[in-house]
Amino acid sequence: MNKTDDTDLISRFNSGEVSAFEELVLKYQDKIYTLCRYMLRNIHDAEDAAQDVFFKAYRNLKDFKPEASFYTWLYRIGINTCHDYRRKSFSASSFLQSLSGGITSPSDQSLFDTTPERLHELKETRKSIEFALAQMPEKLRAVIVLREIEELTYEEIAEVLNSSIGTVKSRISRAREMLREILIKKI
Amino acid sequence: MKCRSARKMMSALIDGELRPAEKESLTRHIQDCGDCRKLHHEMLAVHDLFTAAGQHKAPQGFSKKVMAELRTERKSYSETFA
Ligand SMILES: [Zn+2]
Repeated sequence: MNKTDDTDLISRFNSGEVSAFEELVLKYQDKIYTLCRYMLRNIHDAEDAAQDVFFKAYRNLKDFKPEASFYTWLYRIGINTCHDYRRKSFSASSFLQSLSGGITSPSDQSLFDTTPERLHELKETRKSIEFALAQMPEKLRAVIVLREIEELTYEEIAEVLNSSIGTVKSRISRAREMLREILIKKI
Repeated sequence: MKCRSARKMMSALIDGELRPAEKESLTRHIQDCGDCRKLHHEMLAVHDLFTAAGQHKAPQGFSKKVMAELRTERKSYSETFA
């Protein structure tokens, strides 16, 4: 993730060029949407949450400190937004959807260009991951999604969560132990 | 190296977050110890599962929706405070 490009886009945005913000959305939309999908499980909540992340970023971008990385700042908004969504919208519909294992939808863009066998395999894999993540405490879910799915380093994750590298390291380790317990029986 | 410390470091090995000396002694322990080797394999299997699951793509028209919403917001803001 290129910090110079982001800094440039942010200063263009802050000097009134709104289209610079659209470039930031395009650059990070897949990552943020992915984060929300794995954190929330419910597809509709995930899309709403991902949109909210960018609304919040838009409103607060003028307060963003250029010495930090834009993407770790954005991920922090993402984690906090997902936290709020889980608290307020554990609605009947999302509960029912999670019971039926609603991880993939027919409109999933990422599933378009693939064979039926691969598609089935991918759906099953994602279902297992979703099933396991849903059973984990939120703090462990956040670190493992940031590490395994978003592929951030320990240092970047510490920056996102505003915690120490030591804490991140031990949480990831605990998350993996737990995932192993849940998933190895299924593989 | 004892199994207890090997267990603690195993996750960081998968993430490439160990110092070279730590990596070397842990790798050697894994080669020599059946229990830790099994644990390492299982952790790698979980890691591979995540790699296979991969990233999603944002729904089509996502950025357009976001920008349209922001434009409405700015418009109603300037109408209210102009
Ligand atoms: Zn051992």
